[in-house]
Amino acid sequence: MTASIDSSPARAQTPGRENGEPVARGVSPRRAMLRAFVGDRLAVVALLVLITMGALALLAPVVAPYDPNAQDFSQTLQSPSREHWFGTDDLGRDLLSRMLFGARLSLGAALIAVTLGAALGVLPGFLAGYRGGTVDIGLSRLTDAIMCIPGLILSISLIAVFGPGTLQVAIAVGVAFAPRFFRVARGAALSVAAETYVKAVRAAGAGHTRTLLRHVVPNASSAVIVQASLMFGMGLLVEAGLSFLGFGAQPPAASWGALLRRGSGFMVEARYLSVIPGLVITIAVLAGNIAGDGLQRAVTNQRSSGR
Amino acid sequence: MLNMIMRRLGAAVIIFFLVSILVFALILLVPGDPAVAVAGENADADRIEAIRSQLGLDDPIIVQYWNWLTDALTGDFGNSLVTGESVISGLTERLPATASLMILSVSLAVIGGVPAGLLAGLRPGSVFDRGASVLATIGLAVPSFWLALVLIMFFSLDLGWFPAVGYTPFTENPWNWFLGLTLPAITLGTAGMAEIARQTRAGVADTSRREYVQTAYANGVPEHRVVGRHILRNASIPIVTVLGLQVAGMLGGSVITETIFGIDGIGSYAVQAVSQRDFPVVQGMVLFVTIIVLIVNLLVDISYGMINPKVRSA
Repeated sequence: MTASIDSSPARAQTPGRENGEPVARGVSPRRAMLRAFVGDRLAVVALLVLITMGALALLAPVVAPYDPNAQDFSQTLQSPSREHWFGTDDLGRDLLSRMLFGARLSLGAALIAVTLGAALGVLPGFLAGYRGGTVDIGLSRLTDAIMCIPGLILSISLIAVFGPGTLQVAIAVGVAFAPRFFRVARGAALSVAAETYVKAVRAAGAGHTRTLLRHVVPNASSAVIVQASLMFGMGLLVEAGLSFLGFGAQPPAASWGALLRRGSGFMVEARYLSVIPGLVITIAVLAGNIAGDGLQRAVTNQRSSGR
Repeated sequence: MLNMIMRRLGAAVIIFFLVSILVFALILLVPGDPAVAVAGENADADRIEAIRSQLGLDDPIIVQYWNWLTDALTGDFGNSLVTGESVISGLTERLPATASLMILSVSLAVIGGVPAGLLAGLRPGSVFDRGASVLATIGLAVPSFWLALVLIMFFSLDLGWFPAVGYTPFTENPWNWFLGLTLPAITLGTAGMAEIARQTRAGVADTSRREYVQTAYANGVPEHRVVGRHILRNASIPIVTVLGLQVAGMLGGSVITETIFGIDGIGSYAVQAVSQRDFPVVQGMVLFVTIIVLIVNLLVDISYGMINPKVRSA
């Protein structure tokens, strides 16, 4: 086997070639995509918001002003003030500290859900798109069947099986996400497999596994990455919804959705307890969606305009 | 057309069987002994045995599946492990509340989403277009349960216009039925409205650029006729598609909305069953909801054929 067949076409042929579109000499597709994304100011701001939230979550033990579970019965249901920026709950616990620690559960669960969804959906998707035939029909029918069950219904029925908890919710959401990853991966693999260079590699005697791993997977992966970024916001939303129903982290630990659930019991005397967590969830989901849209635009622009 | 419907129906039957296998397999996924998991750690041996025989866990798996499926096909989804109530009557009793909520939410999503998307798509880049796009982006990100709480605080607690919780059957008092479902329908319909507005805008903007539309304008056909005859007709395929998806999504969302507003429908029944690990109810509910989704998908396919004659033979 010769070297030119071994290396992926993005590197071997015209510099930065992708989908047959010519790309400016010397600019790799990845860098072109990065440049397009950085030029999208709103998407960059959204990404920075998410990164800040992630950093605060990781640093929660350092930055949180109070112990998230410390009860103080002299300070119950205090409105937001200089001592307690987000106020305190019915047990006198500091809401800001609880939100910071809750971010670990909420962001973490969304991350696990998306990763698991991708892990479950992508390989079968690549396989179905690349091999076609019976494998494709079988896997696609199974995906159609799973997608006929509304996502939330599928997730809660899996929680009936696994029981409540942060990890269980993340798994339930991840399984419900898998069919979407399957479809995206299948579509991407299908179009890559139809390209001339893949046929050439096969004709030169490369095996299926090798062709799939060396050529189809690298070239179809940008579609999967875009899908993953688009799914992150939805993961946050679904996790929060399930925690709001009481299926997520069990007390005293609380993700954002669980904090909102508890806060909703004080709608008359302490509205900030439900307004603030909801606002933070909305901002996080919005940031995730905008960053995901930006990434998608960057990838498609880079493809169509060849910049 | 009839040919297409029969083919789609055949596909739906295959998918139904696959879903039935998945739903049945749920109980096999339960870690450890399902009978113990359902009865609880501290249940005595008699209770565990009773549940084991009620779930038919002693038979070979194929026999279990076959018995379960044939019962389900005759409308027998078994009995609740908690109340002993028949699952199918539990579901059908709660269907009117969920159906009412769905009808109002879908109507709201269409009445709000289609005109907004149409206006935005006809004038891309206008102030209205940009405003609608921002609103739709926010509408897709706002958690439904939080929207519900904010609506309750403002419209129920502060203004007292709508009840915060509860459901009145239509046959009992149509006005109270409407009042009680207004906030839940806004809660459940907002995300759908945003999605429908987005799809409509994309479809309309795309069709407006086509040559035959430009030709119609150039020939002096009045705008309302171009919009009605050409643009809306061609943009309606993606709209109908997203509408079908939204119905499925809203069926899932009803789980949250019904729980918050204390509506005793299929969604809150599902939440209760999951908390109590009442597997016959969970399984029956998933199968029931899937059948509704399959019917909706079939209606979507049929409407493709009505909108675009080319689809009928495809």
